[in-house]
Formats: sequence, C-alpha cells, structure tokens
Amino acid sequence: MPELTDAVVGGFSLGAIYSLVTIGIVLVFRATETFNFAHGSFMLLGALIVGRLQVGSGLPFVVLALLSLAVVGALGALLFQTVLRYAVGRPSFVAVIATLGFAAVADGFIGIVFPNTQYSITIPGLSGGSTTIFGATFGTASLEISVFAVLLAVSLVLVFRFTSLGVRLRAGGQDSLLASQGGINIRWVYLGSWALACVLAGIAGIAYGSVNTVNSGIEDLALLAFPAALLGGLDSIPGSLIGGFGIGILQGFVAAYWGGQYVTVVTYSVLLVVMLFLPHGIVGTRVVRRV
Amino acid sequence: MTLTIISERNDTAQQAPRWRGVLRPAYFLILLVVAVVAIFTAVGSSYQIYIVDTVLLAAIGAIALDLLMGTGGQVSIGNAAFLAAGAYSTVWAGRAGVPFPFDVIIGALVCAVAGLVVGLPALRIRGMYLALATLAAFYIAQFVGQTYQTDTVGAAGFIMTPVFSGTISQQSAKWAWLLVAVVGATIILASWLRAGRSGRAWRMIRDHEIAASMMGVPVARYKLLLFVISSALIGLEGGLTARFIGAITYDSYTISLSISFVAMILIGGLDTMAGPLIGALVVTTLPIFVPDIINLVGSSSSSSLNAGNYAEIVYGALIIIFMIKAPKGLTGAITGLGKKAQDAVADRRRRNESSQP
Amino acid sequence: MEKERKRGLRRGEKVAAADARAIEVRAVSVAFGGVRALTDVSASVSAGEIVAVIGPNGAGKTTLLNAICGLVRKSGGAVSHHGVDVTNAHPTRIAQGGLGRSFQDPRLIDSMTVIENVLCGTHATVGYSLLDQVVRRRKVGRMEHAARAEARELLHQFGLGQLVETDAGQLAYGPRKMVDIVRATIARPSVLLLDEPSSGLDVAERARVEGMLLMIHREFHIPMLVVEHHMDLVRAVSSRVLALVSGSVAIEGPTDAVLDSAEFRATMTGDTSLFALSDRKVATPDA
Repeated sequence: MPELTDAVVGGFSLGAIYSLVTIGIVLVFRATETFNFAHGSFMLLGALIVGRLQVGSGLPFVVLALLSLAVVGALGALLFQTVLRYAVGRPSFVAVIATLGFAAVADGFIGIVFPNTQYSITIPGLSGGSTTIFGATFGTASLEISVFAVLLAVSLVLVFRFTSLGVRLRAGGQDSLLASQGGINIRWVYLGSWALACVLAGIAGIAYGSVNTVNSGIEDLALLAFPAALLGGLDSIPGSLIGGFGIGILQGFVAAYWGGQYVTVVTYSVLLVVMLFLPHGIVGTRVVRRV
Repeated sequence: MTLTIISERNDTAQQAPRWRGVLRPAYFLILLVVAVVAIFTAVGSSYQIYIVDTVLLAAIGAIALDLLMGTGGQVSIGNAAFLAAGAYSTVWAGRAGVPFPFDVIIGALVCAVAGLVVGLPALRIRGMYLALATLAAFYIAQFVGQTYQTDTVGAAGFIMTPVFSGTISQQSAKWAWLLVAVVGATIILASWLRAGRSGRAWRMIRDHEIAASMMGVPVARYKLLLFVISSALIGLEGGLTARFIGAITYDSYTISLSISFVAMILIGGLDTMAGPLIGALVVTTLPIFVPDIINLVGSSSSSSLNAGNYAEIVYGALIIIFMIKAPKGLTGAITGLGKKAQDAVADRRRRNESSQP
Repeated sequence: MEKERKRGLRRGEKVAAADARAIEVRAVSVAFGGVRALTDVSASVSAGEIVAVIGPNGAGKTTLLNAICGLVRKSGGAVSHHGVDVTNAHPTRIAQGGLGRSFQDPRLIDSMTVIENVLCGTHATVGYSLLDQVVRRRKVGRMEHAARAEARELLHQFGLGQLVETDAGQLAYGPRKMVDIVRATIARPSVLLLDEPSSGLDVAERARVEGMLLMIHREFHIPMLVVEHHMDLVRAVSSRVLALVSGSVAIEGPTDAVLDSAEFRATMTGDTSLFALSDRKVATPDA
C-alpha cells in the first residue's frame, strides 16, 4: 500500500509542477510555433534568485519571489524580442537551435554567478513536519505546494477559457491574421505569451525548489515536461493538465515500483510513442496534412 | 528579360570536367592539417599536442553532424548519445578481448545500427519535432550506458589500457598522426558523399522534400543512409575518444556536449567542407582562450575555474548569432570576403581595359 | 536512359501499348478533411498534346496535378500513366516511371549552381549508387561528366547558357522558373506537368517560357499538362483546354473553341447562371 500511495501522491506532486511548466510550453508553441529549450534555464534561474537572495538579504519571501519572476519574465521577453523575431519564417528548427544557444548562455552565466553550492528555498507559511497517508510519509510542505500548483494551473486554464484577456491570448495564438483584424496587437500577444510562460517556469522552479534542493536537476525537469506537452496536445492549454499529470503519475509509478533511474528513459520513450502514433496528443487539434 | 551577362568567359573553359575539382580543396585542407600537426608534434608542448588531438577528434564528429544537419537538413541534438554509444561499445568490445583498432571499429558499427534505429522516426518527424526525438534518443542511450557502467564497474567509470607506448608526450604525438589519417579520410569521404548524386539528393530532401520525391529521389532510403553514415562516424569519434582519454564515465555525455557540436557546425558554416574543422577548432579551444581574454579585460582569480562557463556563454551567443544571421558561418564569411576580393579585382581589370584607347 | 526509367515501373508491369494515353484521369475525387477539392474530375493527355488547365484560384488545379503525381490521396477514381495504373502509387515511383514536374514556386537549391540544380532532375536517370561514389570513382566521374555536358547543352538550347555556373540564390524570379522547367525536362520524362510556369513573369519572360514549352513539344515530343492563368500563353501552346471551377470540370475542349465561348467567359467572371457546374463539353471530344 505505501508504494501505491507513494506513486499516486508523489506522481500528483510532480504532475502539478509539470502542469505549470507544460502550460508555458503550450503558450510558447501557440505564440511562435516553436519549442523553448531554454525553459529549464528559466526554472532554475527563478529558483536560484530566490534561494541565493534568501541567504544574504533580509527581504521577505514575497518580495524575492516577485523580483525573481520579474527578472525571469523580462529575460523571456528579451529572448523573444531579440532572437525569435528574426527566426520567424525560417524553418522551425532555427528558432529551436537559437533557444538552445540561449540555454547555453544562461547555463554558463548561472554557473558563474551561482557557483556549485546547493540552495534551498524557505517559503514562510508552509507547514513543517510530515503527514502520513495510507502508510506513506510525505513532507506536509510538499503536499501544500502541490495543491497550490494544481490550483494555479487549473485557474490558468479557466482564465484562458473564460476571460476576455485569455480569449485574446488564445485567439492570437491560434490565427494571427484573424486576431490582428480584431484589433489585437499580435506582437504584444506573442510577447506576453512568452513572458507569461517564463514566469510560470519561474514559479514552477521556486515551488519545486522549496521542497527539494535547488540544483541543475531542475533544468532536466523542464526537458521532461516536453513529453507532457506532446501527450496533452501541443496547442491545447487544458491538455497541459492532462499531459502534465499523466506524465507525473507515470513517473510516480515508475519511481515507486521500478526505481528512480528508470524515470527519464520511460518518460522519453512515451514521447517517442506519442510522436509516432499520436502526433496531436490527446486533445490537440488534428492537423490536416496538406501538400 | 533581366538576365545579366556575367562575363564573356570562353565557353570551352567551362567544358573542362569540373568533376575532378571536387577533391582539390579537400587535399589542400588535409595538407594544412598535416602541416599543423607536424609543427606541433615537433615543437609543441605535451599540453598543446593534447589540444590538437582533442580538436581532431571533435572534427570527426563535427564533419558527421554537418553531413546530417548541414547537407541533409536532419536536426539532431542527441549526438552525445552516439558518442556515448560508440565509447561504450568500444569498451565492451575491448573487455571481450578485441584489440585496438577493431574495438573502435565495432563501436562505429554499433552506432551505424543505432543510427538506423534513430533514423526510422526521422522518416515521419521533421524539424523541431525531430530535434525532440533525438533528445529522447539521447536519454535512452544515456540510460543504457549508465546501467551498463553501474552494473559492471560503478560510478568510477571504465579505465582502459593506453593504446600507444612511451611518455605522455610521445603517446599524444602518435595519436596526432593517427587522428590526422582518420580526419583526412573522413574529409575525403564526406567530400565524395556531399558532391554528385547523393549530395544533390540530400540537399533536395533538406530544402524541398516533396520536390525531391518528384525528382525520383527515394527520400526514406536516403534519410536512413544519412543517419547510418553520420552515426557511424560519430560513434567512431566516441570510440577513439574513449581509447584516447583512457577513461570514460556516463556523466561526461551531456546535452551541453550535444549543443557544443551544433555550435561547431554553425560557427564553421553549414554544408561546407572546412566549416566543421573551423568550428571544432573554435569551440574546443574556447575554454582555453576565453579565460585569458577575461583576464586581460578584468582580473579574476576564478576565471580559470569558470573557463567552461565562459566558453559556454561565448559559443551559446555564437550559436544564436550564426543561426539567425549567418548560417554560412565563418566559412561563409571567408568565402564572402574572397568573392568580394575577386569582384574587386575583376572590376579593376574591367576599368583598366575600358580605359585603354 | 530508357532502361533506367523502365526500372521505375513495378516489376511485372509491362509498358502499355503505344496508343495508351500519357495521362488518364478517371472520375478522380480528392477530399481534405471535409473540404472537397476535386469532385469526379476526368482528364487526359495524349502523345503530342499540350493540355492546359485553367480556372479561378482555389478551383483545384494544383490539387489535380498533385493527384496525378501521387502526392495526395484520392477518395475516388483512378489515374494511369501510359496505361499503368498509378492511383495509389508512391510519388517517387511515379516520378521514376517517367513523370516530370515543375512547381509554381520554383524549388531550387539556392546554395548550388544552376547546372547542379538542373542535375537534380537526373536522379532517376544517372543512376550510380552511393557505394559507387566511394569505390568506383572513375565510373562516377564519367557519368557525371556526361550528365553535365547534357545539362549544359540543354541550358544552352533554352537560352540560359550564361547562367550555368551562377548560384541559384542569385537568380531573379524569371530565370528561376525557367531553370525549374529545365530541371523537369532533363530526364526526358514521358509526360511533363507544369504548375503555372509563367506566373509572376513579365511579358518578355512569358514569351521566353512560351518558347521553351514549344521547344519541348517540337524537339523532345513530350506531352504536357499545363496549369496556367495567362490566356495568351494558353492559346499559343495548348491544343486542348480544361476549365476547373470549384473542383469540377466546367468546360473542356479544343483551345480556341473553349476560350471563345460564352460559357467560358461566364466561368472566368464567376457568373454561373449560364450553365450548371457539371461536365459540359463545348465541342465533340477528340475521336
């Protein structure tokens, strides 16, 4: 019984984090039809800024978090503005390689400014201690974080669905020509999507980093979110939840029953399977293949 | 009709078979490499020869990746996987008693098969999705290597006996000559493949895949062949590197390593002959030169510690610049300058001729 | 070259009798996820013919070409080349069987020279293998030399001789379209499809293209199916015309008869009150 609970609850926690990251991936895809392989760098940077500054300065967590998210959001906008605008109209891998280049720059920068110490983030208001569910023990804080992440993800989905701002963001991503006719400034929509995606990555990084250590493992988390995005359907925001939790729970089970070292390879095998046999994911739009 | 008559070149000059011209630039390049190696093995320090060896090894992989991405247009960011596969297969063959160089050859062959497997999804996936798929291949290969290593020798990694005898310096020098031969053969092979029918077919697949099938190009077969050849060469580099360094462990094969190879071909210039070599030279030596440059600008005792990080920043920036602005890379810049010089000379000649009474 | 081209046909299939039509399209329908691009379209091209396909934008002309090339799946009907059924054949096979095609947007490789681009069209006919390129260098050299000479000759014939060594990326749009046509012709296909060969060209360039098509017709005797918008070009080169409107054949018949008819004028102005959008022949079809 403990393994099952471990799997489900652990998977749920992971899934919550993945969902946040995956929404970001979908936002980026809908805006610029590309992947941002530097997503992990944004997660890590977000977490590092908070973790590092919490040690020295006496600033409250909320201030640090906002600062960190502002930095990350600004960087995302910068990346979009300088790099990706020039990649429009070129083959899709141009933008992807450019984001890889940015990831390299970010990694180098992170390596210099935040040398190899491990940080941890303390979020005030989180309960300490542990809770036992069905025989498996979890840090209470990590459960609370997961609930927060789920609520955030779900509310984002609802916002996109039902508010006018959200509809504009979705419309902009879906059909730029039509949307521009509706008086929506496309450039700002794309920019906003990118900034928001990076902010979400930062939040996910901080959330994850508050209950685990902040180290480069966080970047791998972002890379593991790509299978989630493909599983849910690259252009579907609700799909991000499906994909995120799907992968999270899968990983929970694999970790609990087979061992942590199998998680990555299984996740990426799922990616391959989805790409080959279900290219539009579970709820993505079916693309009509034209010649 | 807006056709410009470029020059009134005598048509018979164009009748001369240009086909034989394919290898002449390759020979020149190889000669250059040989000269460099000769100089360094004669008067260079042990450390310098070691760097030369590292650059030569990287060049093999860079040429292979350029064939795959530059000529064939197949995006792959999982090449560290093939390096690992080549290295580990070589180790496994060596432990089974196979001597050098056959263990490395087995490593290359294993990677050829792996390339076939990885190439199969490439038939249905393109562009950035293919990049993602090659990332998946990387993780799978990393897993296999990690499992093999932990099951056999643990985290310390594999240690292999040196291939050559003598002092470190002598061994490095012998490796340099061996690698010159391998790199030279790779350059020639790549030149043969990039020219002629297969080169045209791959470029059509790269630029206009549908039109390619309309020219009668069997797209699937050519894609798979490309993956097989390219993977075999990268595996060759992996195996040679394993024997050269003498020790391998799975955490040396990172995504950063894959990205550095992409940087090499972008900086050098996609689909060019000299590009991969220039790129290999630049990217491999960046961690060495960048701290020196940083030291010149501002003093920092940590600059050598952070050499790798500074290098990453530089080639990351170069990736962005070259990918967006100049996919022809440094080779393009050089040939561009060369062409400008040629045009300037031709202009001057024409002006002189017209000024004659 | 004939031998290599026959190798493209499926084993066991004989090349049909000489009087089989170069292209025969029978009641072909193509649907893209709910949109009916072609409905029950029939057409044919016989030896010695140049057939023009005309019609308003979105009528399905390019789709028809794609259907003949095997690039789209057909939801009904049949296509055959020289009597050989190719309805479900792979486009590469169809091309290897002797079908040549030019594109509306000339798909050249900018980093290569014009002659190298033209040589791309010889893939099925200059057939040395990858292995040959490594071990049989002399054979490869010979075949390349011969192919290059032929390509140069063809470019000269079409008046493009001075562009032989120019990088395709440097060409203006007109020459690009012409090089695309040369590339499609060099393998002496048994039938040639051309997708708007004169679109985007000025009057002088259109005249050049007209000359090229007529030369292909007179010197190389290659039957052609040409999608075109410019009626003067259509009148100058084609013997028959097929008008497509909204995915169906509206009119069909000899060129002048069709183009001079009231029905045709109605088609082009979109006034469909004059006739029903079903198969309607202006004159009796060729016996």
